[in-house]
Amino acid sequence: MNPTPESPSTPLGASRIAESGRAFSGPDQPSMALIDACVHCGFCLPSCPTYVLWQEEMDTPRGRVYLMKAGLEGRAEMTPTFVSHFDACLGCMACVTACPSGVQYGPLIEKTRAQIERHYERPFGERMFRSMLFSVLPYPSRLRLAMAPLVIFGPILRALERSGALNVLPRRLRSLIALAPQPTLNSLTASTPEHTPALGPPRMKAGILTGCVQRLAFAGVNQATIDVLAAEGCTVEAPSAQGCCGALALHAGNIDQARELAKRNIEVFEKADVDRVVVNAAGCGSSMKEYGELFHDDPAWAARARAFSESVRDVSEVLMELGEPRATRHPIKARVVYHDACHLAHAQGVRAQPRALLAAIPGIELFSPAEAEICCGSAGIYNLVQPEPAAQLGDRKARNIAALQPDFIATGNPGCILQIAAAGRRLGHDWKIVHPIELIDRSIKGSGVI
Amino acid sequence: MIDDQLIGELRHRCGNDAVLTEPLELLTYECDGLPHLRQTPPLVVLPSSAEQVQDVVRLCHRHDVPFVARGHGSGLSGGAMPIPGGVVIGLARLNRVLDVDIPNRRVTVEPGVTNLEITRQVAPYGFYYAPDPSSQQVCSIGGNVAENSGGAHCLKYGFTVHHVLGVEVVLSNGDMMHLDSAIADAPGPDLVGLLIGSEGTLGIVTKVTVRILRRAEAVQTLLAAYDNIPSAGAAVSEIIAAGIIPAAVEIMDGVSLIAVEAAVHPNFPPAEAILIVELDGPVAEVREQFAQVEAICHRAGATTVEVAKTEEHRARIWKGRKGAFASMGRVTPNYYVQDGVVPRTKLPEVLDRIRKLEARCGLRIGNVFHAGDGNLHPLICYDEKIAGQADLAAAVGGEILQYCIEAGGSLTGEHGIGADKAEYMPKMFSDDDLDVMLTVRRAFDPKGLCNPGKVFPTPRLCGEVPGPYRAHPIEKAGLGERF
Amino acid sequence: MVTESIDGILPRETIEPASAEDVAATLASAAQRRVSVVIRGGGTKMGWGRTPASVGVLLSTKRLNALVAHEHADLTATVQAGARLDDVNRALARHGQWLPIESAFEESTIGGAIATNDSGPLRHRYGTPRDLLIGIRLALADGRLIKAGGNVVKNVAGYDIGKLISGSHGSLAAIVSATFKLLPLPGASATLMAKFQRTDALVDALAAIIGSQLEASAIEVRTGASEEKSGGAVFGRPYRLLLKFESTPGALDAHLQKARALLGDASCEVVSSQSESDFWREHTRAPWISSGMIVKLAWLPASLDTVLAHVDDLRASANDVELIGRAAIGSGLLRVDANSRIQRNIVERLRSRTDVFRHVVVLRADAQLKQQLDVWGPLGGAGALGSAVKHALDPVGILNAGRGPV
Repeated sequence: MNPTPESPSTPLGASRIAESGRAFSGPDQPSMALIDACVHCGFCLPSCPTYVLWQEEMDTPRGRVYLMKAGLEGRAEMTPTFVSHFDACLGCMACVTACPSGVQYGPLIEKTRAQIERHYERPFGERMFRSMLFSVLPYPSRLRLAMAPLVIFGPILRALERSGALNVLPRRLRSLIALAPQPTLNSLTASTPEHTPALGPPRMKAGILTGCVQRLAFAGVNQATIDVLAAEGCTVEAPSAQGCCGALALHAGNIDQARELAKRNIEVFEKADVDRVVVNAAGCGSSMKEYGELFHDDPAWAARARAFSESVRDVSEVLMELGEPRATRHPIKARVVYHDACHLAHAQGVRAQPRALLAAIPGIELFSPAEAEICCGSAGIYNLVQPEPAAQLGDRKARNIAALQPDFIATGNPGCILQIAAAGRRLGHDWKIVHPIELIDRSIKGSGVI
Repeated sequence: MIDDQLIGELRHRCGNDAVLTEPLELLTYECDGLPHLRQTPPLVVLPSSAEQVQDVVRLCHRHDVPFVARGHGSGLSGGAMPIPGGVVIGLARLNRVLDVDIPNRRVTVEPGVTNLEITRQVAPYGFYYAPDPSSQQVCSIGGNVAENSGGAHCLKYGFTVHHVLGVEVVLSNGDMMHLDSAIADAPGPDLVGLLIGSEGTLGIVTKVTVRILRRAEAVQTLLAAYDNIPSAGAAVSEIIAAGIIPAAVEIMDGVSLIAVEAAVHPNFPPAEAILIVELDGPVAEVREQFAQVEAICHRAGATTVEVAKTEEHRARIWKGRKGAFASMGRVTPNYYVQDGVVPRTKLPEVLDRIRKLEARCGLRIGNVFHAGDGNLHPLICYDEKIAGQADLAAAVGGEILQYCIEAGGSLTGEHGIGADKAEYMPKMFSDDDLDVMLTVRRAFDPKGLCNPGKVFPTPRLCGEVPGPYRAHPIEKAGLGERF
Repeated sequence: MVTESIDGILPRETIEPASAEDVAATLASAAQRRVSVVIRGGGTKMGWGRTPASVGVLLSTKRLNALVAHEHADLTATVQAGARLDDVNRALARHGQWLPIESAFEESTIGGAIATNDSGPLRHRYGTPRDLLIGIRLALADGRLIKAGGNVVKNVAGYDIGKLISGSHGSLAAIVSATFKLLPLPGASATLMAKFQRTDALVDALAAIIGSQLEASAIEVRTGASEEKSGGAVFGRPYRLLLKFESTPGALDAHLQKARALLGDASCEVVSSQSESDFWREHTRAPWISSGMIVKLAWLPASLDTVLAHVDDLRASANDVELIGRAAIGSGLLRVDANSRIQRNIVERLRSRTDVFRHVVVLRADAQLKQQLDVWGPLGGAGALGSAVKHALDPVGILNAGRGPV
């Protein structure tokens, strides 16, 4: 590779780029073959949330791929600046949708983040915070304990945060409080039935991922998922031995932890012997569809992971796959704004199915907000570790949604629900934000508008 | 000279977060949409307002530092490639829509607003902004002004120069000039017309007023598949001879079609050549002319003719065409999109020469072109990791330009000369022609700070351009050696 | 050999070069001798510009009148500067094509059209000469012959010197030849004339037409002349809106029907095809065959009602006032028949109302008036830039003998 002609050195010497250092080393490096697909056209820029916010080339998919390439070629070292531009990436995959050359940005950013987690020492506070997140979030029993105080103190803490009384705390902690879900004692202790028979002759055997935050904060979503699937003729298995799918870990670069968590779920669902593994959280579904890629270099797991991934579906995909709906849909009269979760729309290409399902409910007026392709800022743990840009994006999304005056906001990802709820509160709205499956469930049960 | 003092003053005027000095970050600015031409800049500034642009330019002028303006870096001639020892002035933060004046059918925007955004602003009222480069979702209007961008519909609707009513421009000494003020017929030489297409060498535009058009009553699009390009070309000739000026006429060949199908899945019928014809205008007129066009396409031997009956189908056809360049990324590690023009009647012979060249040089060449106006876009595929292929691709591109000149055409239809083709200018213009253009340039920019090294060959080794090492023609011919 | 005075000033010599090289040599010689040069095409606009102090050479392009090339399959043509517009279009029509450049004057040449960027009603659809220009060949004051642009309709190589020359009125260089993109001749055309007694009715009808998806070739507004009397007509009425449609014969009727519907209950008449070209010729000539000062001016199209109100006001002080213009563009000619002092006041008034009028340029005025005001008006920053370019291309300052615009 021809080195770039060096710029004439300035009195600062600022233009001398480190050529000896190579940012990446060891296994799990971003693939040069994937990087080569980028032709530097720039079509990804307008849909990248960080370009929308900052208009800087380093924080665009194109710029990040360029930095990855520089890292592989020895033109860039893993400096704080290098790391900051990857930390700023939301991993929303809007660029994948926009890219005409088919650059697979997902695997590239995952490997890059894995490299950073392995080889870069973060400042102490940051390290502790991330460590805390990754030792609690993927483990439901620990998460339950952590969320318990929110049952009573949640509203007070949130009110304090909004009033500014907690401004002495670091931004990250305040963000955590602002975004925290509001669990109930019920939701924390509810258990999902392991086996639910189909209503009528079964047409599919479905396993469902009960999730982590979903299970504890939005237990109703899991129950609605089971009920709708059963009503549509699925036997539903919810194996209790399952755990976290590893999405948060994978998307943040904890690739080893992600692999451990993935293995457990692959085993559990293999034993359950289901036709489809059904997911009602966009981030989880997207990760699980990538298990094949995750174990690409592991001969013991590659085939099993691939087979598993091929059986994963978002609940909206499965319902469309089943064909003619069996259960009657009773009317719900409501203005519903459907928010595309990035990991459903961009990462999985699932946009039409949830809309079709909602549009099939009589009485629903369905809308999409302006700038629908731009992330709400939730992006896994992004809104916890990058609170500033996350809040700006959340505010932008909230404004676009508010313009449509919704009765409900429907979205297929718990992280988005929390992010949009928090942003909505900042605008003075107390929005009803639900998973589309909950509206379908109410429609089937004839519960009408609540 | 860029020194601490200049950097300090720039930080003071524009804010710390607007001045980039970190080598890693500067790296990402070293090229635009033409990545094989790169030059790491020593400094990048991102002003947020026209006044800040003035400040930056004034400071550069005072310190004798050259500069280059950059929109969103999607250009295809290296026009935004940094200048050695010069500042990159990124205009992406000047992205406000300033005025949407529907009664007077004009919109005023800052230069960082994308081409497509202008149409989005006026679409609810039934209007649109006509020049539509394939990169319109990302290319900036400021960049369009610099390059006099066209797009697929320029056959009927013209280029940027036909749709800009006025600009505000910062000259190389920092003076700001308002030209034409958006009302017709300012007396005097058409300075706006000169500025448009001057590729950022006469000043930096900080405001653009464009005219918008009412959406045509009817649009009809068809796609015709042919077994070979000459048949598709013959259809085009007949359409023109019938006195019909379509809104757009595009042809794509087999190589590009494979890439496009893989990338954007437009579901085109299998073919060696696809012809896309679009007519727009009043319903009665379009209906009449479209029937004629359909008949002509069949007569020329189309294996399939698909008429788009829904907006979705029409969008799919255009998605296929507009994704053509970048789709090549799926079938080749690197590609070099060339841009040349020949008189439409000379298309068959030039395409034939290109086919023969492809066979001789061993690099695959896809062809996508605006068949109505003779603007070709050969897509030369190569792998830069194979020694010599980057240079070969560049040489093949140059050879194709030679064919264009010999056919009485032009070096560039819409991408501009930039850094990429400056060395070829003497093939199209005499020394006197170029000298007069440079004389005009000096009248705007006496110090020569405004994007130097672009458009005109610089007095180096026979117009050598910065970028990856390229063998001198004498070396290539084996007649000399570089030490 | 033509000998003609420019605002009463006789040129010391008149030269009629036969070739591009001759033109260049003439300019070089004039520059060396430091004598001014005024270029004459058809001599139809000699009064446009400031009165020169003296004129050294009158350079006539009469002998440079060839249609150099007509590539009809490519829809391009190259024409010498002295060729008359009418002659050019007659030749192009042989292949069913045309160059939609209009002039009010029969003898107008290609060179003059480009230099003044003059246009007529069809500008609405086709633009001005600079919009159709794709290549140009110039003779410079230093005797060099240069070209810019090319022979193809799509070309962005190098600076568009052709645009720079458009509107320069012969003050930067002499045009030797020009290449244009052509259009196929329309299949058929029809003109609709609507008369209104009130300006607000006209403005409303205009808004309806422009807001629709009708594609007219010309939309003209014309105020009545004071001589007009038809059964109790008021001074200055009626106001007219003229719509020209060019299309396939089949579609034309549909256009006319739609237009009539939008024009509401204004009195409409269709100008029949036989007299259509006469009609338009009369329309574009009208201000020039009547007496008075003629001013070119521009306005924002949506403020036409304000413009018409102003024109009405002017009638109070003048013998006769007439406005003809491109209603959707906001550009036209104002004719004022009044004494010098009143004409001058009117120009100053128009120029002071920058909220309504811009680019107020006096095209025709008597010698006395031209002494009292600058015909070009304030050029602002563009003037400074234009002067810098003029100084670069014509350092001795021979071209156009100070008539302007730069």
